[in-house]
Amino acid sequence: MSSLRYSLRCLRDLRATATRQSSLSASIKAASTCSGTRRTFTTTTARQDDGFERLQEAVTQSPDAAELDVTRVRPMPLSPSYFSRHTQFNDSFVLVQDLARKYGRLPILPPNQAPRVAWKTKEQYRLAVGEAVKARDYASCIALAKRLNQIHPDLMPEEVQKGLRPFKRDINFYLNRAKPILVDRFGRSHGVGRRKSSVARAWLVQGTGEVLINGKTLNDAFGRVHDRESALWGLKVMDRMDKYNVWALVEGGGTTGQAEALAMAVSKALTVHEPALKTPLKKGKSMPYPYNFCARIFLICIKLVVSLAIRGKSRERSLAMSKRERCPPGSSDKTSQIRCFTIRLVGYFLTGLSSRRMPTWGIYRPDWHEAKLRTLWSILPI
Amino acid sequence: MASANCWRCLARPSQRLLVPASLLSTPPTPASAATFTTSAQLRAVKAGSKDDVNLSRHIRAGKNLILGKKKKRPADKGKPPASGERKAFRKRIQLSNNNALEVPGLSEMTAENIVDPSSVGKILGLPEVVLDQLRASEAFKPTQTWGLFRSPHTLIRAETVDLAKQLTDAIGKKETLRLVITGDRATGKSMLGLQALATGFMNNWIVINIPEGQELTTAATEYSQIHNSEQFSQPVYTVKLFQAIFKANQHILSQYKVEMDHMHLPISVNRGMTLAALANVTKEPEFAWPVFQAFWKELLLPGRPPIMFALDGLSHIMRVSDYRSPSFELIHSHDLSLLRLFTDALGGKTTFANGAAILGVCTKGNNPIIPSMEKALEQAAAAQAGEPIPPRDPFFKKYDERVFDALRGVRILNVKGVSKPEARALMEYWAASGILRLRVDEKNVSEKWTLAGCGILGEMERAALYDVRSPV
Repeated sequence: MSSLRYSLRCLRDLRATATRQSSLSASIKAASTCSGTRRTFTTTTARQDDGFERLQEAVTQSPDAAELDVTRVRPMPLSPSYFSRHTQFNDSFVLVQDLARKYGRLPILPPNQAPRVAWKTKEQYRLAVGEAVKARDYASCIALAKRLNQIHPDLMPEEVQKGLRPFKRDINFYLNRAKPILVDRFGRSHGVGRRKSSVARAWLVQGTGEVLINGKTLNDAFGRVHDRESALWGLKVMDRMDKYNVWALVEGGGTTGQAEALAMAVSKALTVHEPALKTPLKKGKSMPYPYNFCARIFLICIKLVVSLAIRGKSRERSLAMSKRERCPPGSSDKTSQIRCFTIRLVGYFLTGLSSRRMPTWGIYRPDWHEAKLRTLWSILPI
Repeated sequence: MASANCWRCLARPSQRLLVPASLLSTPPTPASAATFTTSAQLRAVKAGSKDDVNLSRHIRAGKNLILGKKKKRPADKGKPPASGERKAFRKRIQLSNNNALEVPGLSEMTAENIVDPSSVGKILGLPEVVLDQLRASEAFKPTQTWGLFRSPHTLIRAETVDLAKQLTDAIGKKETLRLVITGDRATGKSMLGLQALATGFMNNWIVINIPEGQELTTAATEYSQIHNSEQFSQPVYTVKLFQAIFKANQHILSQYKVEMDHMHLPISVNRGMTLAALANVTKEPEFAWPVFQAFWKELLLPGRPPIMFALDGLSHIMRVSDYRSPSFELIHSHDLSLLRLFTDALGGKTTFANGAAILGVCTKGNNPIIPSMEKALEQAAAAQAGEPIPPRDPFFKKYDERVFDALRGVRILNVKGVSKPEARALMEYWAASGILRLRVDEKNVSEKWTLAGCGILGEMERAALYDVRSPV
């Protein structure tokens, strides 16, 4: 370690002679400008700076300075962290730290109002820089960078923007804006949907509910009634089946995938005609919170009751062995039999109820689920 | 020496003495047997009255593994269905269902209201007489869902009125209407054919119906070469057809008498005989075809009632049949004499003095693809619409000239889906019959109409009545 430190010091000492060759003044200027943001990693900063100045002084003041001819010049690394493990990251981190210190008092925006930036993830940064940056270091660095990004845009210094650039992704996808789809001059709206490997394009026009898919009628395109329904599900749930004509092209995948891709495309095209339908159509994707919550509580109750019932059953003792066992019918006494029977009945009823109430998890069909939801609310005293 | 005891357990024979005496004799009551174990008791209950209780086996709780004894399956007591019974069950036609609700307020179909444009979109019942005639001529198909309703009713759609009008107009002018009903799968082509047959029966025409063209060409019925001819007759089928004609048209045929001398016939046919008697004169397959020819000639004489000749499954008779000639070559369907009779009539080679309607109904379910027929129908449709006639593909060499001859100058009736008011009438009928448990309103009607590919009848039935259809 000491030898490393020594060599580093030597290098720094050598820099004077190296830079003097090209332009001494420029290097001094650069050193002076960078002094605020540059930080070295040796513990001998002050001494070294001092030594460097003294050396320069000595060189310029020496009588044979003019004759001094350096014959062999060794290349100098530009970055002082050249010999550290993560050269570039160190430089940028130091820069960010300095910037954070320097501009820490500028007014900031609340985080949700700051301009959204696509930061590089740790892996992306590693890939971009080619250094195995530690997760902890990167996290602390990116936290500083995010703090810097909150500076009010009107006061954002150029320096900070430059310093943050290595941590930003090349393309800020948050700036992407979806192209607005409009109803064209023929009154058609266009929607695209994908599902598995099927891609569907649907054009909706006001009409009477006629459907052509790849030039075929709906019954030719989909043999299953289920697929036909799911292809037009958006229109069906919104009661718009007789208000629009659909002309669609769909390719790739199987029939079910095609039907569900069409469902997406048709719904999108429908929202172009009637933007107010977007919210209820989107809601179809997931279940509302109270439903999930209720259902979970309900299921827990059922499990509890059933497990109690099972325990009640196993609590019977066999007459012969005086151990807990499943007794043959007729061997237990009357009261325990009745108790057991009622508990079992309640348990079966509840399990049956649960399986009947919620057979399709995850598929949200508004009419069906809302009805179920109502019954659930009426059952549970929550 | 073989031991009476189990080899694998180490219980000594003397242990048997420990078994309570109560076990060895009568089956004990549960209260007294519970002294030692319940296993013996269980076993005794399982074995019942058998002499297993003598404890030659070891007493062990739980399951006993008994090898070498296969469990006998209980013998099937029922008799297996006789040959043909299953098919008969599959092909049975049930025209009424007492469980279905009766729909009040529906009028019956008559010769007048079937040509009345105001009856479009109404459900009309088939009259009893016509029902019997239709049943005799096998107009009902096993795939149609008549068995869901109290009594047979049909929807009068725009095509029905159009067809009935064409039929009555042509026959009123003593012309021949040659028409092919075509359209997509399950659009109601056969049903339209049935309505046409009903029109024929109600107007007192002589109706001859071949219910399945396929039956004649798939080598399923007997055939024999006609003497001094290149044609082949299908005697058994002809006898069957004769009986159907007799049953369906008896009251008309009995009004007309034989007017020609049929000296060449192997059976004696007098001049005073009625046509009904002529139709019923033979059940001998070898005489069937000559008698049928004589019958046909009688029908073509002037002064006879108009003829309606219909065939379902047109594409099946437009191909080379599965029959083989004595030189083991495949016979073209048009060389089968009965089919030749039909194709000549459809192609306009036969002249009918009293007016006639020749109907060919296409089928799309089990359908051979016949390019000649498709092209011929395309050309006929174009000619009917006054458009330029599409030429044949010059690079396709398998066109069948006989098919083009058979379909020369026919009219085309292209059946499509029903309109929304018609669909609504139909769904209301279903709901009133108690098989559609849905509110019939604008929303539901248009939904089913759309799901059925713009009101294709079979698909509407599928979409709406999926749960209740019969498992055919």
